Amino acid sequence: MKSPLGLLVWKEATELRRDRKVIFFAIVMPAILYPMLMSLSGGLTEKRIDELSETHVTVGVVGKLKSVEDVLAELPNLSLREYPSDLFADSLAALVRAAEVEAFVDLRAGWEAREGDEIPQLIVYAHRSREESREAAERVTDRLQELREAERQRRWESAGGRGRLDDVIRETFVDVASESASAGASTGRMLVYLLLFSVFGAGSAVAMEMIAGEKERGTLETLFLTPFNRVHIARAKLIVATASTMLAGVLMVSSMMLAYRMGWISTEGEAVNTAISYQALLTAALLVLPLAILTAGMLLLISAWVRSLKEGQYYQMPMMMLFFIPAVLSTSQVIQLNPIVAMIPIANVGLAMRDVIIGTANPGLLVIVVVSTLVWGALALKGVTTLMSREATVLGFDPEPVFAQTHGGRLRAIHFSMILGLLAFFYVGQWMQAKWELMGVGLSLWILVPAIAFGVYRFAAGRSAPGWTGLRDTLSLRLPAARWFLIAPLFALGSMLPIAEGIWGLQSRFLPAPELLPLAGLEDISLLTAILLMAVTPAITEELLYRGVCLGLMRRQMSAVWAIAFSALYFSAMHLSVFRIAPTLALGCLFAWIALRSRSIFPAMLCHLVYNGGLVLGGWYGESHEFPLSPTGPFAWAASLAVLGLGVVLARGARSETGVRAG
Amino acid sequence: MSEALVTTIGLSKVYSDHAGGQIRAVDSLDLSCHAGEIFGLLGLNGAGKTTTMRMLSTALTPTAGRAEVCGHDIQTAAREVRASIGFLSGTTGLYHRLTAREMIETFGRLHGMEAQHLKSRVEEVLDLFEIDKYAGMRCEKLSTGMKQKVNIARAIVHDPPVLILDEPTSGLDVLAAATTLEFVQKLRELGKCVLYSTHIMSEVERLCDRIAIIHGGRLRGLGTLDELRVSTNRHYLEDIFRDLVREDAA
Repeated sequence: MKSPLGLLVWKEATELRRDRKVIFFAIVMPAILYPMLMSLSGGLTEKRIDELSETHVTVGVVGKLKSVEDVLAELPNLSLREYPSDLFADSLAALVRAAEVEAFVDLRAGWEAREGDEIPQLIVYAHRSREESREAAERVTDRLQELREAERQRRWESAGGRGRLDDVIRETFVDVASESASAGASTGRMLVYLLLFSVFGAGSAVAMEMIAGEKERGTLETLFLTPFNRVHIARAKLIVATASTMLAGVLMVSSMMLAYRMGWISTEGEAVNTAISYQALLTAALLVLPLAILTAGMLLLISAWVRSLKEGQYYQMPMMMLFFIPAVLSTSQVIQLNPIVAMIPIANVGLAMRDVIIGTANPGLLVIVVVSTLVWGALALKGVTTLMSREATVLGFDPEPVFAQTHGGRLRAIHFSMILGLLAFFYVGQWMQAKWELMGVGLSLWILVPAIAFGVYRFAAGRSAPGWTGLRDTLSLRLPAARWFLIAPLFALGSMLPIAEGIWGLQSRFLPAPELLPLAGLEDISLLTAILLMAVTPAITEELLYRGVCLGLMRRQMSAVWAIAFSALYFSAMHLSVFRIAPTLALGCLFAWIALRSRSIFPAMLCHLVYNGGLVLGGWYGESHEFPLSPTGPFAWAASLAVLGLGVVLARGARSETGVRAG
Repeated sequence: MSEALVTTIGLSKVYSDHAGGQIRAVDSLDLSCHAGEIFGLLGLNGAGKTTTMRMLSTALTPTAGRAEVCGHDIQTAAREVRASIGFLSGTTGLYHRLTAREMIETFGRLHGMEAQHLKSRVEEVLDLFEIDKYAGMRCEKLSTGMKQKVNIARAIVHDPPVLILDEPTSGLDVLAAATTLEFVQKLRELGKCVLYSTHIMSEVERLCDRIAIIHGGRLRGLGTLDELRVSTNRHYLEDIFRDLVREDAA
């Protein structure tokens, strides 16, 4: 018999592992949610910093000093523009303010002195509210640090090792931003921060009460007995929750502005008065509406999902993170709105409000922000309706276990195990690749991916695929019709240009990739190793996981179209790069379609092998300019489409059990 | 006999368990309940009474079989079914921040009653349950018995032809329970079809015209009390019930 302690531990552990709150807070949040949020905000920040570092800036210089000019001229993406030495300081500030130059360096005072009597002056003029100006000033001051050190050393030595070290060069930073612009920017940022929190606070109090509270008190079931359907009930709740949230937001903005203007909060009241126009305030207030709809929708979604008000209160904390991070980000100017960021819920509204208030908003981006926020809100409402229609909402418990041997249970098991597999690949695979580099890549593909495939199959197949027959059928481990050994390479060759040029190119318009990622690092290995590692290995192991286990299991539970879409989504997510999502999604769909259409995994493997092999060869010979044909241009496109068309024509004749038609 | 307002044919509800097995909460139930009849559903806890009633109220979807309420199919005409019933169970709660009158009025409005008719109807049910003195009090301040009265008033305010009452005396003191039973009897006089679920034998003996004994989701006995006495050769309902349940266990 087990020890009393062991029995008690077992009892506690059993109870806790069945508590979804514990699973969420102990596993999902630390393993998925926090890293996801941090990587999103970190990625956006890094991207913007990279963009800024590559931005070309012009810096004005007065007071000709060759040593300084030489040092600054070495800086990439920076041009120096000399101005006459008789300009007054006000004129320098005006030039920066008018964006004639991003920053100004005034080197007129003290630099000609060589005997240490006069302290050289380095005066940098920049506009703190403009990020390009700040960037220019930072580049200049960082670079001049070296010069300052040298000058410091020279003066110290010429003074015989005496004197105060910190007096060698006096640096002065002059912010040329007008008082109103600075006040407007700081007020605007603070307003957005407070607004997001007040909207979240009001929304969460109302939304939690409206569904979770009603569930707990039994009034939701009473309401369900009225002739209205649950869509009407969900919509009504959304309207009220949105109105309350909106009210909180508008009241917060109004009262804050009133307090600023009356001078109750800050002495900058006058400045704010002129800095933030009524038009900007009205636009910001209009942005509260989509934000309120989305906030109410998301909180109602949580409220509908939980079983009680108390459980709902636990989930308010992670929800708050979704507001907290954008709120913090919006107080800085590092992250800029672009078409992609404008579609990220909550963060987009925070950043848009900031831009509106400081007067730098782009109308096109504002439209994207509003439309995407409304779409997210509509999706949240759809989710609320779906959750409210579940029997669990009436029963107070889930009528079937999460991983039951039913259609729904198996679906959840597949998604759960695939997500777990992705996490394992992310953490363990990254560790392997960091530790053993190329060998690590091989190990992660040859050991980790098959291990994930095995784990997913064992967990998710359940009774739907018993024994060897079940495994063979799920993975489609059967020989296809002979023609597929021709069709698969045709699809691979024909799709290379449309994916690499078409989809990649289209995506680059919205999301410029920092580099051509797929072939990075090729230069250090032999061609044979590259082919084995980047074409043969993924063609076998990734196909086993994604077109074998994942697609095979999903096909048992859903239509061919959804199975293709989901397996491609997981395949795309495994590549762990936002820049590769679209191309790998398209490829995943292609491989999955081939696997289903041919009823065999082998053509998909062949297609994957030829596609990746083609990329490796193209990259290899392309680098050394030995590739015989130009891979782009109208001829290449025509040839690609012709090859693709031939593949489609041949595939049309091939039989399919899926109902997926070629062409 | 008058027309059947509630009928079920092979009505079933199946839940899944962790081991991949199935729990048949309700198994092929065939019932019919008529206007002016109090039809008792008698069973132990977990027998399937509440699940049956929830399916009839459209809150749950049957796994198999079908049912009609006032000629409306519970799956294809759920809205009409909900308009035709008044449902009360231990889990249907009251809005605590509304007064008793507001609670009843709100549900009358939600059932589409016109203002003038609603006003007189609310006074009528307040008077019927003798809760007019407390009509202005918030529901959270009412006693358990008063809350149950308000809940019944809420269920009948739109004057539905079918009443589904799931253990309506649960948690009530003797006097409050007696008032509720008297009211249920009045409903019969008004020609309502009442589906009454309980595990209290005395209530069934006192109220019900016909009785269905459910055990393990299945119908174990159906008929008037006299018919059940004859079929089981027992006099007391408790003995009849025990025999039928034991028979099932054997």
